[in-house]
Amino acid sequence: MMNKINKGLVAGAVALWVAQAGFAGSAAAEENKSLTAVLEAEIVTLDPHFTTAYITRTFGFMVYDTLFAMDTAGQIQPQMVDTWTVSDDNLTWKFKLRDGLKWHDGEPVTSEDVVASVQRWWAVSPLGTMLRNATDTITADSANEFTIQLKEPFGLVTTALGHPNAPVAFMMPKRLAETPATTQLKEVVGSGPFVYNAERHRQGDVMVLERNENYVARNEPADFMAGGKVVNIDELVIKTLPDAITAATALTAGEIDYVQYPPFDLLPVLENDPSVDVLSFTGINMYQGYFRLNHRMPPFDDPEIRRVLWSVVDQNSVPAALGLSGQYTVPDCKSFFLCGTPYETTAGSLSPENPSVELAKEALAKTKYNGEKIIILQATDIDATRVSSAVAADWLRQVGFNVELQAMDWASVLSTRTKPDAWHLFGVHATGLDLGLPITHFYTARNCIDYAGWHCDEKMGEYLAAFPRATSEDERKALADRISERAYEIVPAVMWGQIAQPAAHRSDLSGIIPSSIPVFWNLERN
Amino acid sequence: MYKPIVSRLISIVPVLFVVSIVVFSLLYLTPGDPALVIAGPNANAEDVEKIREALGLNESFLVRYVSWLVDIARLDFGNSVMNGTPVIDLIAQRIEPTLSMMFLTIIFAVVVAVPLGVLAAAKVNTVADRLVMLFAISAFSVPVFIIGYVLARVFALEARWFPVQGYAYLADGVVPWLRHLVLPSVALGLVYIALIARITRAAMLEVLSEDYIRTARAKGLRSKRILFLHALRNASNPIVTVIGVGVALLIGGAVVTESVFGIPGLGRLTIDAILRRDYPVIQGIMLLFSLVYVLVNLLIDIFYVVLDPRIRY
Repeated sequence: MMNKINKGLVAGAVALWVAQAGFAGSAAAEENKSLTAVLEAEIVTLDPHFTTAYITRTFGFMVYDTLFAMDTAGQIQPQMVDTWTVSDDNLTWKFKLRDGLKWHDGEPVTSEDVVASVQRWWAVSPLGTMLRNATDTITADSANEFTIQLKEPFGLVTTALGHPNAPVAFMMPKRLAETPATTQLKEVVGSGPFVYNAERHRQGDVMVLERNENYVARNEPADFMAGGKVVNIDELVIKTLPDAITAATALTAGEIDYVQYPPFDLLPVLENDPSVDVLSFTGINMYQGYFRLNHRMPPFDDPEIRRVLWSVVDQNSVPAALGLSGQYTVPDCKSFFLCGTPYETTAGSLSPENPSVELAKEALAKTKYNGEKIIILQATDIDATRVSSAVAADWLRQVGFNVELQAMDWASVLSTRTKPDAWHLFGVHATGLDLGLPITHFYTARNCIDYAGWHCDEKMGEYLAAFPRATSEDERKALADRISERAYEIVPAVMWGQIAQPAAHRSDLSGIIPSSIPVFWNLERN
Repeated sequence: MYKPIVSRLISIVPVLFVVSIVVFSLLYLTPGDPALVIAGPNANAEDVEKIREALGLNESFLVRYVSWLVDIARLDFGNSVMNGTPVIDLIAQRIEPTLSMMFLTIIFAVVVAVPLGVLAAAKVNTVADRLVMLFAISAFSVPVFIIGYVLARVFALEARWFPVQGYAYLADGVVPWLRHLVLPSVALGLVYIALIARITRAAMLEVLSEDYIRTARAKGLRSKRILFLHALRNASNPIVTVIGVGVALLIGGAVVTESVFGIPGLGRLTIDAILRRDYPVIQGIMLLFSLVYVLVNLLIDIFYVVLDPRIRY
């Protein structure tokens, strides 16, 4: 009898525990205004100066803040900075920080923190390095004022400090910023609109960013990375879901609210789902695809042979092969700096109106190409690189090149491309945030440095050096034209298309900032 | 009985040593560089070199291997090169989802597969037998990720019985834990059911043709008693073997299943570490998997003795 009673009690206790545990989660979710997002990849590196990885930049914009920030029009606006003045000779820049800025540990943001952060950032950022080279001193004048004293004119001071090109000039406390940028920070303390909660971070599963209750948003409305970063949710749950199909299915089922990169071939399905909205992008928020060429590997050391590619690359083909419909592409954009951006230009274009295999065959026949093998690296774990490299291989074979397509993962491509004698070409894509500015463009600006592809052109070097020294926008646009002309001539890379990588979200969300860097301020759940 | 067990346990050390050399060598020869992955595709060679230097990746193969081995001897599996998290912590975070999924899969598979195999053997060459074999061949032939997507579509998206993705930790309650594991365990378990069912059928058919079974029938014993008490027990050695071998299959299948269902387990950790060339994590997981495999085989050997007292080591 006692045995039966005991068994009953145990069973009852277990049932109660199961029931309580089972329903506790849903009650908590109701009380909490939480939003769940699946981003492009897991956020593994949390130090935004340590890597150029896009996902870390995304994390950075949520947790850290910047002195200046870019708006939708591509203009740089003050963010942590309240006011600033420039001397008549353009050499002395004085900045005053906004009142009330605090780090996530509760300490006030001081100009000493800012100076240390800028110094950490400019040790690794291409834009920052340009600013550093033009700077004589950077000093903290008072608790909330600092000065950058230039030794030569530099027209991009605020651009460098506010441009989203990675690594971005994110600010952090001095005690952390004094760590060399090549040593990864072990602590995450920013002053951005979200606070990273280390205890709730389960690697490979979820990261939770909580609303920064101490954040003082600007009064202006949110405008891309600029303006008031008002957070209307209690917490952002960033879920790691490596399978894009699963992420899209979970979005449709309402288990998650936002997917940064739904699969291209599922976009029509999501467009037809009334509970889901697809968010497309334009201008600098689009991606541009490239075939990067190796200038050190014959026969691509011959510019005549490299230029043959202009005749065959039809910019509609790769987006179509990716399954993207026309609304997500800019057809036939011949601008190195993307179309719909401040520095859009087709100056010096060698791309014909209707590229074709026949045109390329004719062009190749006039070169000294002698049947040398062309090795194309194909990263199979990223759709755009996999498809673009496969299309390139097909084109080049039809034109008459002797092609070998080497399939591997992206990490192997990164490694193989560092060897000048191991490859000729690979497909890649990057955002307009990096490619829209001639001096941060990966394939025009990386001139005469040790960067995979190794193009080196004296004239290009002169134009690139003159760009940041230019004091007017007209002057910079004229230089962008010159850089474009040289790029078409020396062919550091060939564009395969300008595409959007649309995001998808539950249709009850509004106020989402249309940005290829997903940010979660301003939005609301209706 | 204890002496061979102790001897087998001691033999784990040289096995793991060989595994460590093989894994370390393979990783050394595999193209890829964690410094490049950390720095990002847009970093220049100078920045990459600084990171490589900071991570100690410029050391020779021998120096790195010996240093790692010394650390392992002190039970220090090192830190992830991506973010400095101790490997042991990463494994500890991920082990529960994988063990839970494997546990449920094995339970589900054995509970379904053994009776199916027995049924097929008892009704050999009948419709029931054919259906069981048809199911087994189908389950073998369809990749686990297809099964996963179909199950998610039907039972999660359409019927809304289960979540599409994710994992609920046991500490958060048994119900959510089970709800998150049903579909992955079924997806992963189908191939396993097919395997066990076929082996059970074959082993049972062999035993059922033995003289003592005929004798049992002649004595008038009930059919169920003959099948499950006399025949199944004697047919159990190959079944136990295949269950053990299946653990290795499960580890492989877990990689795919965890990706499809968004379960943050060891399979996903393995894939992520390989794609990022996070060497200390890969090495730690490989050692763990080897250890599990050796221990499972040891358990199988012990089961042999329990199930068949005639076996001696």
